[in-house]
Amino acid sequence: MKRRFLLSDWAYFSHLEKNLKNILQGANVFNLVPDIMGGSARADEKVPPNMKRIYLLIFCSLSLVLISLNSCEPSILGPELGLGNLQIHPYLAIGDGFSAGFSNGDLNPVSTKGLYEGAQLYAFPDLIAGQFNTLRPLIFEQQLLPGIGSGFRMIQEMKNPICTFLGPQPVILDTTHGNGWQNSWEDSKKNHNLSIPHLRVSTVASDSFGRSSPFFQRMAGSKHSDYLDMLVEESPSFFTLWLGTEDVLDYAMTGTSNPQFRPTPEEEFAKQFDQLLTLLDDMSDSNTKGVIGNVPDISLFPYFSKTKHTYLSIENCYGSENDIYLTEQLGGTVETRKATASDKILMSAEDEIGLNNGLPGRLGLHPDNPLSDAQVLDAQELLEIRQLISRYNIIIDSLVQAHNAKRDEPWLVVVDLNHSFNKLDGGLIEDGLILSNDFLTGGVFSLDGIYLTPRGNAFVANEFIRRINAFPEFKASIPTLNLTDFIGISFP
Amino acid sequence: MGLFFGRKGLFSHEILNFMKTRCSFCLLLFVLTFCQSTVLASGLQLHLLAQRQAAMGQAGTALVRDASISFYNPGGLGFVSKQGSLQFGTTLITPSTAFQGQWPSIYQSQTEFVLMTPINAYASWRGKSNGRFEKISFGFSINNPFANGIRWPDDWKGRFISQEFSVNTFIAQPTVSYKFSDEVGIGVGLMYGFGNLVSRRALSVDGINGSEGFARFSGTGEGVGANVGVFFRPGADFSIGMNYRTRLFLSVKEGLAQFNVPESFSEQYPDMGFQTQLKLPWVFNLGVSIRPEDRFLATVDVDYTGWQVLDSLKIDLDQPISQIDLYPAREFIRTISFRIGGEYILTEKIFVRGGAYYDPSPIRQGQVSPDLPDANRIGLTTGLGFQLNPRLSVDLSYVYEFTGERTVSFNAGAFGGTYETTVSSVGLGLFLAFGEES
Repeated sequence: MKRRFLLSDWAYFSHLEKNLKNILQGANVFNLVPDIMGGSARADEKVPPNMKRIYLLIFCSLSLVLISLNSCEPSILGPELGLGNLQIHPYLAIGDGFSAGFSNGDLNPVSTKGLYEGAQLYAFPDLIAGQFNTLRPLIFEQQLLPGIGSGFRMIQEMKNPICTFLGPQPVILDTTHGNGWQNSWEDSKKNHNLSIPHLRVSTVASDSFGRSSPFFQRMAGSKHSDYLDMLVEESPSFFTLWLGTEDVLDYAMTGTSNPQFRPTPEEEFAKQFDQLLTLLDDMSDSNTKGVIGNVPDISLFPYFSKTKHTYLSIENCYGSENDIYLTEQLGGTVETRKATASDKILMSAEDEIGLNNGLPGRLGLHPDNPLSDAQVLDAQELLEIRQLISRYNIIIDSLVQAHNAKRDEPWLVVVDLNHSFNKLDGGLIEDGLILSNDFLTGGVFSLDGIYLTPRGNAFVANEFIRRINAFPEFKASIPTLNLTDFIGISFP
Repeated sequence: MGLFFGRKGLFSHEILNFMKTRCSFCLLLFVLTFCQSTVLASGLQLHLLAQRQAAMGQAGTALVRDASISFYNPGGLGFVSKQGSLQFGTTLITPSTAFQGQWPSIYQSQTEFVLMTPINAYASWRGKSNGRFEKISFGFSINNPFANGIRWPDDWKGRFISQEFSVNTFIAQPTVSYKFSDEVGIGVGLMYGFGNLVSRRALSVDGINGSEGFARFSGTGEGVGANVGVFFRPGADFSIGMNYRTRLFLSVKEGLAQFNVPESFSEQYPDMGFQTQLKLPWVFNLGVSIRPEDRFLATVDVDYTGWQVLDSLKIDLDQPISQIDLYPAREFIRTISFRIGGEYILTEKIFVRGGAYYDPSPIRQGQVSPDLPDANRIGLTTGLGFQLNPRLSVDLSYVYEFTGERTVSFNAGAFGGTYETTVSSVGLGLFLAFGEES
């Protein structure tokens, strides 16, 4: 049986072969070879047969090699993605410094330092717009501050201390701001990133914020008295909104002790947020959709989590852990005690610990020379801040629910950035990269310990995109960003 | 059966005619049939050890013609028809892998061009018949049974896991075989393995000038193993072969770890030595070959490969660097692969060969890293043999290997996507036979 099959099989191939042979002889394919080599076409007699055979062998082997090298490259079809129900033009970003691309600011609350072109180009709304753009052409303009902009911090050098076990330590260089960075924006191009650093939910309708914020002045000029006044002229088809972090940030950054920086009370937060959503509802058409980020637990940010509660003192390069003393407000009295693991010493205080300030011992290391209340978030203060943030987030959820109910179908969705940032605590691996809330090496937070690096912005952009994709009413599938395309902190 | 020898010259007219027609026909067939498939894969084990076997589905445990049997199955060495035989060959291998990121990523990448050129050389000698050593045969082989070559573009997404991973191993094997009778032979070979590896990946330390750090590990290692086999030929047209090759651990004692990091970290990341072990699996082969008629030979091989020894490449740096968690453990599983091949004697001088194989992946879902993006592989093989004169023959082989698209992840690095690999191999071998015929 087997034999018969093979023979008939071969007979079939021989038949094909004869036809092919005729074709090939007609085309003179094989006779071309001796031609090229200097022979003639019908050269069976003229070219030494062995030579001709060698050419043929070479010709055949080369064909085989070329074919195997060039053909059959693998290729995989990409996924089918689309915008679904989303209209994206124009896409507007509403937010604070986190949406503006603010980065590498200084360690003081409400500092102006940190807005410059090099960082703005990685603002997460810009990154999201770039991903929309892969599906449908989209123009997303920002008011870029060229050069050093409002100034920023950078690592001037990594200094290797005498005690090498400490590893290289950064020497931070503060640049000053560029000339005329506050000049109002005169470019006729439309601005799509309406994010104002240090904008609070409580100040969206405040004309005193409008007057005092150089960032708002620059964006709105004298045309608008407050943020909502500026926003009302817009008509977004899609927006991202991430506000609320600044409502508590400066309060926490000053150890909850500076009366100038009170956090926004819950009722005020709810009232203003509602006003903002009502305005967005009124000014947009029924197709407008939006994604709203909630408030992350800022106490996990490096500004609050970097500094240990003990102090490593180095005597002859022999390190010993020393207690840190701090002051705590208890009712009306001030008490001095040792710091514990539940106290968060602020990054701004770190460099001052151990300095000789004229008082007994050195600052923070002696019971009679403790850190001030403004330099520490103690357990009580920490709890207050965390509770406030979780209440803000409850308010955001319920307001979004209420505003969704006003329309036939949901148009707002909340991205739980609080959860996203919590994942960074302890480290999160993606594409072989470790993202964490570690200072310098975590890749997410910039040199101010609060605002984001390009990679941190890409992380946030992906969280927004994933939420959009997961929300059934949008029916959208937007490609995510590669975190490996974005840098964390650069070192000299 | 005896071999057919040509009447004159280096190339006969039959060969010439055959090339004009069948060669081009085969090429056409390959282009049309196989290029529609878009997937391929490459593993660490190369079965391209000799051109005749490569063309016959890469089966060879029960195929005796020449000295290459000393590696495929030392037991069959005494059954080589001529008293002495020499064989040389090389193969050009071009693996290519495409990558598509996990939904909804639109990221795509493709490995850079890598050309691997494994070589093989075999020699065998049998004692004179009716002489004192007539039952004893000696063999020597050197080949590249394990190799990997993969290099991704510099800016590719998975570079923090693997940028480049290449392994090349040589095994030199002296062999002695004893032929008890015309039916049974056994043989044993001592495998001396040596090889080199290069592994490179990016480090997440960015320089202010836009450069990105990387770590590169390179080294050479050596180790020994054994290769034993039994060969039965109960009838003239029927053979059975069994072969076991032990695992081979190549110890890299003086590897070089190089780090490219921003200047301020150079003290933290000095170049240093490292040690590791490249663990190659044991293989058990069982093969049967049968000649149902004079012009046709068929063979089947089953390979059982103990991949589980190749858990992970654990690199021990001379000075530990805490931030570099090098290679998380991978658990490979044992696999059984199947190979089938045939040879048809077209004329006295021309042999047409073909075959196919199925080689399942030893790497589990969740542990497939881009340094070895393995998948179940299917290979289609073909080749030609030309008996140029009584002593010399030339063998050509072509192997096309592919896998289906495999969507997998490497959980330790939270990296996943869809891989496709194709491998094209072209081989050329020379076989010289001399001395008396058995």
